[in-house]
Amino acid sequence: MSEPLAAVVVFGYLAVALALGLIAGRKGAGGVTDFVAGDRAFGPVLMYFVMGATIFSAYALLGTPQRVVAKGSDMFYIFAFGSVGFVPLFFMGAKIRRIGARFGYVTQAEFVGARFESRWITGLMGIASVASFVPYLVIQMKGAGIVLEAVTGWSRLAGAACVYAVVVSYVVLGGVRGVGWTNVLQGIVMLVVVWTVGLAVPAAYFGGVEGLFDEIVARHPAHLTLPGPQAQTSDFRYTSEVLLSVLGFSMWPHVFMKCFTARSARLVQLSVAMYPTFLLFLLPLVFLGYTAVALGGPSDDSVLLWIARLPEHHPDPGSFVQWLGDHGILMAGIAFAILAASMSTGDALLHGAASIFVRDVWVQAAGRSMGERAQTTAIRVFVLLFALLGWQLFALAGSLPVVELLLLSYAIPVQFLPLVLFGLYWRGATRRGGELGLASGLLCALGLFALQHADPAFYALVNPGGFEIGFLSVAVNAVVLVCVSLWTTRNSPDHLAKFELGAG
Amino acid sequence: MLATMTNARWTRLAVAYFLLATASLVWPLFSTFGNHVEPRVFGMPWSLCYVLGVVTANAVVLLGLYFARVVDSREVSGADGAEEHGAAGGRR
Repeated sequence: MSEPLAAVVVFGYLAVALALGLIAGRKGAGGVTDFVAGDRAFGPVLMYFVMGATIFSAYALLGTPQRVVAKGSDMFYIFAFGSVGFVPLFFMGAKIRRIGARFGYVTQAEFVGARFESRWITGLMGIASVASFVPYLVIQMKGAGIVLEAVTGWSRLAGAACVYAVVVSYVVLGGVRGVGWTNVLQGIVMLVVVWTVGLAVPAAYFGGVEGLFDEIVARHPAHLTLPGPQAQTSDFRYTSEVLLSVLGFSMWPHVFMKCFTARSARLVQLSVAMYPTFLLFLLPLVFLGYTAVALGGPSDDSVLLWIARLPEHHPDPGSFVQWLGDHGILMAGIAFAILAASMSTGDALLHGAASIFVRDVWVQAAGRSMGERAQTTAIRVFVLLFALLGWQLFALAGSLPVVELLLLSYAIPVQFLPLVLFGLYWRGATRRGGELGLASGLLCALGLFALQHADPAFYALVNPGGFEIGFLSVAVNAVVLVCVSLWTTRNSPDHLAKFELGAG
Repeated sequence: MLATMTNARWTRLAVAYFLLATASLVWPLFSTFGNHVEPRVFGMPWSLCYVLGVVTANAVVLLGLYFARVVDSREVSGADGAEEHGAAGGRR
């Protein structure tokens, strides 16, 4: 073992997560609504951690300090979009939860497809959702692999397999309740470790946060404002990143689905209102990123593990951090937090992908008749299959453009926004409008992505402003939806009334 | 005036606030008012404090809207949604 204490902590934590998932699986009614939406009975603590921990992934934990080192204050865009990205759910979430409870919807695609009376929309959204999850899942597995490699010396592939065997077990046996209970543990771990390390390390090397920023202002001022080091982020680029993320944040299917798990409509709103407190957990990661800038750390995704080994290459005898480092506690804590971040997002992605594939694509779009028990069994099987697919792609990651695919996957959820917004608040949004709007948005995103990689020069002519692909595509989507809706037949008043769209 | 505002008006006001909050985080407002090192607050650069300030303000506004029950606070009870009840204190 490379890091014996960290290995004990990591394997102990995996055992606890597995046990929590197993116990969670023994609760509830056991039907498909229980497996996918927890019998719509999640209370405030579960909702808080499910919303927060699901979104803060291994990518956020490893990527935040890395982004500070590489691009400086460009990283603040995560605070910017996070502060308003969830707000649409404050306004829409209660209505979504109410309608879901009335008519038994448990996924985003079946909710939207039902509003537009289109199985085609349900199927297309289901396929697009699952496709957007896969690169994201590969990144989570990479995070788990990095941790196991650091603490045990195993290969990243073997480490990811070990961690995700545990994740698959608790998701298969515990369903969304297994995801929720483990997310509480994972959320607490992330908050405690990140705040402790994020304040202790700058204190040890610079006397505190003020000393850290004194050093950055004196030696690396470009890291504190846009356009950042080497002028990488223009105002235009930053604005585009923030706006795309704001529009798409609450449309991620595995996040949207959590509206259906809440015990009440009000609880959805409370979870959104409380979310910024979880967002602040990124602040210590910013401090750690600037610590790496000041001390000459790496600019890849190993920044956090480099921080864990800081006392070895930058000794500070007598300090709290040195003591933590000498006893292996620093590495154990950071490994624990990265693993928690990876698992808390990976489990939601696996659960969401399998639920969406079975409910939306297999049952709704393909029209396969399945009983409750059969659906639950099929979802369990697909959790395992998606985990195997993710792991296989991780094995091929050297030859696959995973990061590029991840960028494309960010362009997909935002395509659901016009359908949700117009579907919930405009009686005039029609079935044909929804279908053609969604199709044109997704095709536009795929086409621009392909063009960007096949012929960058021509792409620059098509998109001279350098807008995000998702941003352009969602504009096309919304325009097509509105124009086609104005020319086609509305859904019946009785149907619209089910979605709280009364006459007026 | 605040006491006589309907929920719909509160909702419109809240939407306007969050549109303004979003605008304050991007060009040209962020570039003009937020993208500076000075003044530093608790040692942190202004660019970071500015963004954290918007995060905090939005959280306060959201909690205020939640407790005031002025944005769509109706509930549906029972899995079939047969029975609904309005929010206490909310004017519709």
